[in-house]
Amino acid sequence: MGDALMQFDSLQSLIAMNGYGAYVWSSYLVFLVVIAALVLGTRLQYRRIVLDQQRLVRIESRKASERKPQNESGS
Amino acid sequence: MWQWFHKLGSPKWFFGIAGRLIPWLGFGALILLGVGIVWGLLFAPADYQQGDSYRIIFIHVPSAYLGQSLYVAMAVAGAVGLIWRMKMADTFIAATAPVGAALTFVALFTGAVWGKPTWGTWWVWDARLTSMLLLFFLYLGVMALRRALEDPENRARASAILTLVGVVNIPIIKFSVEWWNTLHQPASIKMTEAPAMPASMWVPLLICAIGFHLLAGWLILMRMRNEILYRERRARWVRDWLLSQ
Repeated sequence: MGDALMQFDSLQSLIAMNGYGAYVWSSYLVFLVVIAALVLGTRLQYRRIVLDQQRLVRIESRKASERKPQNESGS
Repeated sequence: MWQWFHKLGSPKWFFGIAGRLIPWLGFGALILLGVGIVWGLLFAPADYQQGDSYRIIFIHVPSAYLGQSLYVAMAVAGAVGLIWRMKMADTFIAATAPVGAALTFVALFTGAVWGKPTWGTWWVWDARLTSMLLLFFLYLGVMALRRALEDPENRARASAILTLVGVVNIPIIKFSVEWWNTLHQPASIKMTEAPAMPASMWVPLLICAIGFHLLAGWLILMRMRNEILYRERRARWVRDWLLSQ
C-alpha cells in the first residue's frame, strides 16, 4: 500500500475528512463503544455464572464430604 | 443430516464445539475488521457525490444487514423451538437478541449521522428508517419479555412467538426503498447484479461485512456458552467442567 494510494496526505486531513470528520469519526466511535460494551457484558455474564456455580458446587461437595467423615482414606 | 440436527440439540456437544470455534471467530473478526476499516477509511477513494462522508458505509451497511439477518435467524430458531421443542433454539434467541439490538442501534446511529450531511436531516419518519427503528424495538421487546417471564418454558414459547410475529417487519425493511418514496437510497450491492460501485469501494465493504459476521458469531457463541452453563448447571458434565476451570 504505497503513499500514492492513501487518500489523505496528513493526519490533520485524515481527521478533518474534508469537513466530514465529525460525522465519520463519531460513527466509528459509537460502533467501537457499542461492541466494547457487548464484549464486556458477555465477559461479565460469563464471570458471574462461572463464579456463582463454582461456589455452589464447592459448598455442595463440602457438605457431601461432611456427611460421611469416615471416608478420609481418599480411595 | 438428522444426526447433525440431533447433535446440535445437545448442549454438551455444542458447548465443546463452540469453545473450539470461538478463538478463530474472534481472531478472524479482528483481522478482517482491522483490514476492512483501515482500507475503507484511508485507502478507498472518496465518493464523487458524497465525498468522504460515505466512509460511514463500511460500518453502516454491515450492521444494518446483520441486524436484519440475525432477526430472521432468531425467527427460524423460534420456529424450530416451537415445532421440535429444541432447547438450544431458545439458547440461541437468548444469546442473539442483545447482539442484534446492538448492531441495529449502530445502523440507526450511523444512518442518522450519515443522513445529516447527505440529506440535511438526522431523521425522517419514512418507511426505511421507521421500519428499522421498529426492528430495534422488537429486539428490545424480546429482551424485555425474557426478563419478565420466570418460567423457562413460557419464556421460550413467548419469545419464539414474538420473533415469528416480528419477522414480518424484515421484508418491509428490505423492500421499503422500492415500495415507497424514501430518502434512503436503494441497495448499492445486490446478489444478482454487478455492484454499482468500483472494486476499490466494494472490496473493503465486503471484507467489513465478513468481519461483522465473524464478530457477531463470536459474540453469539460466547453468550450461548454462558446460557448453556447456567441452564445445565445441574448436569454432571457442567459441574466437572466448572471445577476444572
